[in-house]
Amino acid sequence: MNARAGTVRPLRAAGRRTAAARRTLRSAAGSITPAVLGIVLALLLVSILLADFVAVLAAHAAGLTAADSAAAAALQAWRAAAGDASETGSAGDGLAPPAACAALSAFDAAQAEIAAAAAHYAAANGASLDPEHPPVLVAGHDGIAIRVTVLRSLRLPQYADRLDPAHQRLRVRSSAAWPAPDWASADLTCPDLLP
Amino acid sequence: MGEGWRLRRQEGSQALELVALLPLLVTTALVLWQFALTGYTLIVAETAVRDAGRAAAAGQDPVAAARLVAGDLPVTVDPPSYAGDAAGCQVSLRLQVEVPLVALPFLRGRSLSIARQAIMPAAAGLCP
Repeated sequence: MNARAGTVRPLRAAGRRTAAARRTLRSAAGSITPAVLGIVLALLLVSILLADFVAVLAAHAAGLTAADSAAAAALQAWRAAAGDASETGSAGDGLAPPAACAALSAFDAAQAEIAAAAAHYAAANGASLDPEHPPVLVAGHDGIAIRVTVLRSLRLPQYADRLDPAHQRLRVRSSAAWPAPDWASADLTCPDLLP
Repeated sequence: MGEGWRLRRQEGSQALELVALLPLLVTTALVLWQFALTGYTLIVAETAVRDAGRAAAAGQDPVAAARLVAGDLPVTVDPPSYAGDAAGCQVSLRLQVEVPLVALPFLRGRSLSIARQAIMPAAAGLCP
């Protein structure tokens, strides 16, 4: 009798443990579903935000290329307007480099041509000149540079209600500056011509 | 029964949940990492095409300029094409950068590359 009881008790205990494990599994299965759904939804949202962030970053990077190209074109147009046909801007095989003040005056006089050249290259690279920020000369520690600002737009339909209703597009602004040739930076005795 | 039984019923359920969710969490982390790698490659490609375009516009080697930016990322630079018109001489340059792929099952054997193009004004002497 005692020997039989010694066999049955562990069996009953094992049975209780199995039943408890089953209950635990059923309980856990019930709580996994909302947790999984919550995490999947959160990760989906993070993925969408990350994709949008990358899209904006890419638009800005592409805008920088367009701005760079437009600034180079604006510099070329300025040099042509100032009468400098040399390749380097400092020593030429064409016309003599103009004096600084004359070159700065030429920039003001040829604003339209410079903007047209910049707009051509901005468009070639998928952007447009920012109408609020036309090409300008900026003075820095290293001399004068020509700065061009462009806009590049991208569609983000999920934010349609927060975007400009006329375009339904997000506009990303990028700007680039190209240093002016030495002849423009050497003499700064005419600062009135600089912004 | 009652409170004690209910507590015993939930023993180990959190560990089970974690085990069940682990593959999903790891896959999602890898997908997010792939997003980040793609974004990084996009920026590198754009910077590389800009620098290569500037080099080509000045008559220098665009491949060297692109490789300097791309670093370890495999980059292929098409030969620059120079064309002149009334607006002056311009160079068009296109390159491709391979995106590093994370070891995800559905990406095995695939390749992803990002192509970018730049059009820059070039020195007049470079146009035919």
